[in-house]
Amino acid sequence: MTMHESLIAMGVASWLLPALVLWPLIGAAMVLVLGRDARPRPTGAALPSDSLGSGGPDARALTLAVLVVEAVLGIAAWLAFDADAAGWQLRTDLTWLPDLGAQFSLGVDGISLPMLVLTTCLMPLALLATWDQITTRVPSYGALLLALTSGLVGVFTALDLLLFYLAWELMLIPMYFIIGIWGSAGRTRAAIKYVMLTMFGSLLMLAAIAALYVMGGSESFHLDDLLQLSMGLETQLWLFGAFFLAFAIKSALVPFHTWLPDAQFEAPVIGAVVLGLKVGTYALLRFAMPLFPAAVMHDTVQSVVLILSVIAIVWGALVAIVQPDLRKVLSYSSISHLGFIMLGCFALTQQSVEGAVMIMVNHGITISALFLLAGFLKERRGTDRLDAFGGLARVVPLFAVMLTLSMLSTIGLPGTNGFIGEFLVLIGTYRTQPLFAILATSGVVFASVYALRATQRLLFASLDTKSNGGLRDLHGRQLVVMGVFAIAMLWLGLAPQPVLRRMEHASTALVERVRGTNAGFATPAPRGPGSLTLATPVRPATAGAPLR
Amino acid sequence: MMLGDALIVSAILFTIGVVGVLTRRNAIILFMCVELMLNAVNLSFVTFAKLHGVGGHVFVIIVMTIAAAEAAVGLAIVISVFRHFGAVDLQNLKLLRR
Amino acid sequence: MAALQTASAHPLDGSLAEWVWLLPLLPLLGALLNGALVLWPRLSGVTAEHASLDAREAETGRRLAGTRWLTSIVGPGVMLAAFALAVAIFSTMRGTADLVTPFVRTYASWMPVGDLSIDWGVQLDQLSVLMSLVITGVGFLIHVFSVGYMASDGGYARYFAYLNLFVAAMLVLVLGSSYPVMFVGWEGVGLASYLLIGFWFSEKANADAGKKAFIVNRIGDFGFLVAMFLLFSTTGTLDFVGAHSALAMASPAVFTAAALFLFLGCAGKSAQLPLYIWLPDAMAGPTPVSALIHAATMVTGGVYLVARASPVFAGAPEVSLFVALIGAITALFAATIALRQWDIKKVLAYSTISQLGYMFVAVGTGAYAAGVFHLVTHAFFKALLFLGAGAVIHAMHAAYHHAHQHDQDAQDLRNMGGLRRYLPITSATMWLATLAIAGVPPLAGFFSKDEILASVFARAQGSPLASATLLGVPGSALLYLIYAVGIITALLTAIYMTRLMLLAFTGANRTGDQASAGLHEAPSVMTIPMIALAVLTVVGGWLNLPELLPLGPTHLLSDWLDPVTGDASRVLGGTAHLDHGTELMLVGTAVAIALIGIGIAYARFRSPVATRENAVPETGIAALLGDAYRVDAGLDRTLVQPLGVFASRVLWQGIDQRIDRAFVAGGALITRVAGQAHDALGAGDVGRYAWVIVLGVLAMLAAFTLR
Repeated sequence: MTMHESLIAMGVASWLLPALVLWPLIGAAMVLVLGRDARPRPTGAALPSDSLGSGGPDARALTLAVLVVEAVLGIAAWLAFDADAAGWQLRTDLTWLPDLGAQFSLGVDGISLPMLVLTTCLMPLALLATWDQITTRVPSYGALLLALTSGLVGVFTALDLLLFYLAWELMLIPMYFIIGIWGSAGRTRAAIKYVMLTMFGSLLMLAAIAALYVMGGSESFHLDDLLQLSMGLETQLWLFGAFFLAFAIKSALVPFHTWLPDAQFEAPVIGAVVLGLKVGTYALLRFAMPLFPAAVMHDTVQSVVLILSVIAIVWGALVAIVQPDLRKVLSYSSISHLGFIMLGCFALTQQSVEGAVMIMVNHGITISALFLLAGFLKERRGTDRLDAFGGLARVVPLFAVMLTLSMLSTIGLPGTNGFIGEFLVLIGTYRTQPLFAILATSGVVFASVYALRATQRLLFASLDTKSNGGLRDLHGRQLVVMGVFAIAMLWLGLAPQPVLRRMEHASTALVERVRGTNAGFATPAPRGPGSLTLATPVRPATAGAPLR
Repeated sequence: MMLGDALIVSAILFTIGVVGVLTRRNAIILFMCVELMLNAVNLSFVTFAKLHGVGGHVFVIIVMTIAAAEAAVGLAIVISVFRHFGAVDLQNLKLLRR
Repeated sequence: MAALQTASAHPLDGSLAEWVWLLPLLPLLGALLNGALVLWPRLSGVTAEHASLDAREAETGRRLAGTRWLTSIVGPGVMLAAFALAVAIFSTMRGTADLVTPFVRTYASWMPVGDLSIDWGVQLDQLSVLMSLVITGVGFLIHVFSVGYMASDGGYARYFAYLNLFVAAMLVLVLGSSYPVMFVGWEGVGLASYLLIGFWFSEKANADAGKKAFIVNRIGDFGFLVAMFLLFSTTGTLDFVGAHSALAMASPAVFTAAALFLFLGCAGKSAQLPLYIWLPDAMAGPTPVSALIHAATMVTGGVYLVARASPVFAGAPEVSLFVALIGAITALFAATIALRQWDIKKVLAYSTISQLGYMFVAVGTGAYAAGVFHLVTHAFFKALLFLGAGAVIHAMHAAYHHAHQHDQDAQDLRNMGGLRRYLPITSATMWLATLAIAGVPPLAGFFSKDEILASVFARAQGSPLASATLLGVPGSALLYLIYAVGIITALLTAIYMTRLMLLAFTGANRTGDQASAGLHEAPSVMTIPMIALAVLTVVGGWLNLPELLPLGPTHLLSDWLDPVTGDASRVLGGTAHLDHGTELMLVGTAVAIALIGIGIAYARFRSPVATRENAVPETGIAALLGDAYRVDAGLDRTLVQPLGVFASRVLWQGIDQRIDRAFVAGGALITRVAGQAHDALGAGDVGRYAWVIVLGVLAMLAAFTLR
């Protein structure tokens, strides 16, 4: 029996997703109650043993344990997923608020599965890599981190709009505290800006959710039911506008992006890593696009979003070129990549959608690796200003290798994971929007400029200051974590097809749902004899049919 | 008995009371106007009791009780104000204003 | 390795050709091993034990020194193994009849997405095996040379790791079965080039050169990518076999656009106008790197691409004319600059750009075999020239080191002179290469360059290409113009190369008495590869002898490549053929030009030249040429700086930060206005509260009763 079959046989499907959502919350309570704060270590003195005696387990270790279990569950979800089946998998529906029509309904498909696994695997790695960076109020920190994880998992697996909104907000509050308490100098301002902008969008989304609920007549918040609704174009435009605004702000689409560089700069490294996860675009693919296909396909909407995407690609890259701090470069790089994701989402061909999801996954990996590396610099020297360093390749070659590899992935060098998503998005977009695809491709040139500039300032040129000479290279935990990232970047770059395969049904369903019943994935192009047959047949579907 | 007339009297009394609340500056007069409003309402309750049964009378008793309690508390506050300002002019009570 | 899918039965099935996948893998293994050797001291905890940088580096150096022998064996060793395999595959192919279709094997699926199916696959045909032979053969010789050249360098293992990585990527480039796989190799060589140009990264200039190379290459990659998208959306597939056959139905506009964008990629990789600016700066890297990457292999990737994509270019005659025109202009342009360069490597760099121009003239006019022929011979003599320059620089460095004159430029021709006495082998082999590049028979360069010019002339006289028009100008006129430019460039080539040789090897020595005592010939590990290349330079012409001079079997190369590029060649060139009289006249002209060029150089440059220090600053045209027409400075002023200022002032400070402040201020404004509006309802005034209550009740009553 394959892993998949044995897991299903064990009955994993019925409890895996709720466990993924609720376990971190249980863990958070455990950490708050049982976890021991970090003790300042007296130099030279032996550490007292911390078995069940005076203090209980180290809060960091406990948090890590909870996150590792979560990661195992996430991998189990990956293995239990059947790439050949369409529709929701690992579906669990629990009654929650029957009078309101809200269910505790969770499920994954090919689009949410990679994001779920990415999140659950990323958190313990990030915690491990930043082990020594948080030293005050560690139990609260751990608990907030776990609540954040729970919110993220909830967002990626919720099928009920009210549950989704709850999880969405559950991501917001812990992040505010994490930035506000453990961040650096300008943290209050950054945290407030983050909350204000995101909350503004969320409230708009809540209004839209309420409107959906009311006008549906189905009195239900569940996605499957809402997909059955047929709404007029104008209604769709308004509601889509509200959803899109919320998701655009959250994912930092130009011009709503200005909160991101400040938040990622002031936040502790894990906060920056989590902010790099593209939750907004996921929600766009999951909810906003299938629910309002007429609005998405509307000419003005398409033009506006595609233009914004291309602007984001170029703008993000250009501004990244002139940033003085490494983390700001990374933030603007994120903004630039988001342009690619949006482009792929809205071009709506199978290649572009799968490419967009691949960028979401791969960029999550790459930018996390880069933020961790920036965090190492900050940890050792207190700053990540590019002009504070130089010639580091001589001093810390392992760090240099990792940084170069990650930067190459950001550029999209073939062989690294960064290439896959960008290539698929661009080739998919070209089929329906060739001009935008060509403009967007120019982004690869600008990306190389900012990435190489940053790499060069840090690693090459002359080793100027004495303090740089004493930098310690990656070692121990950090080396292991970065090694895992390196393997992930190369593996996903050379053999991404396990991920692509699992995405197939979900992406084709999305494209068909939004485009309607006409010819599948692309503008029909003149095809020579014997050149191709469609890999998946176009399924006749009625407009408004559920995503099955 | 002309119920309509009684209701008109009630309305007039109520209006006089409202106008008095809105325009008078003396706190005691204000309370008298509030009492006027309450009693106007009592009058209309009694009038409707004639039509709809004893419930109206019950309400009158309740209103009177509450009016008495409210008058007691309110007048106590007025006396405190008088002790502080030396007058019962409502213009004095502006601490809440911006 | 098990193959995923096979084409219908191919003559090479089950033969040695099945092992072709091993070709790129061997150098890759070498790269991994050498890379591990570089990182091992760090991974095994050197950092933990030593605090200061100097102590750490000393310890690392100690550990690495013990493994240097391993690198010296593995680095060139994998190359030799790869070359042996390539030779074996080649002889298998030679012994197999009817090799008309390419041998394609796909090993794994890479990006299966809907109707886009990209696989990891290999395509073995006459063109790719020929390229593999050149890459591994010349590559092996250069690896051996590097053992000597880099012997005293601290980054020995790192150097070989990068060099092996480069070869692996280059092999992927030429062996890939589809455009995306080729693109992996394409970008891979760009990466290796970046790493190797900036090898001595402690000097900012070197790192900058590497960065510049990568970015300019990327501009070309943009073109490559767009061409891929175009091809996919037209044909639905991206592997060479499928796409080229499906392309037959496409409209001319598709051909034109695809060819144009592909050429943009070529211009970046092969340093054609206007994307050549990275190549001269790339001379900052170690000289063997310049030999391998910027002479023999990577820069020829663009020529290979045109040959591989010949069906695309054949369907777009205007673009082909354009390619040839750009090639010709580039050739002339670079040759003029080379006339006035004082750095020995810069001369060779511009010479490479110029010779690449010739190759593009060839493939642009549909003479793909001629272009590849020149690619091969150029690999021989240009690599030899660079290795020779390396030997010279090696000697000059040693000399200055010996005399403790570390601020002298070891690469400046004005500091050389009379080196023939000190470096006899180098001198002899380089003279051979110079004569070859000048086009003196019977050396290789004569045959290949002559073939190109002959093809151009033949096509000018009458061919489908001549009948086409580019922006209104008839093709035949353009072809004659290209021929003329080619002849002039040949003259200039002879002049600047002879100048280089004269300045460096003849006349009085200008290095100074102290330093010249330290000049000596390169060790045999360096001279033996040079001699090998010299032999190849002499006999290389036999690869493709013309019928005019039947010194042996004729047109070996053209016939070999015919199954791959023959059809496209005939589409563009028709049956253009020169009669023997015309051809003899052309050959005679070419030889005469070469000899005249050499003569001019002798007349001009034999007189004593001032040393670097005493040199009079140049003026006028000489200065312009010496500064390479000040293109870099101009580009910096008009493109790079304004872009930076635009990004910084306009986008970031001007708009981005304003948006940020707007959002924050906007939030504050809304709060304040809402608060002020709320004051209208009372703000602590109890009397106002009462009014509001009364009015509210009245309003509700009105609403209910008037409903």
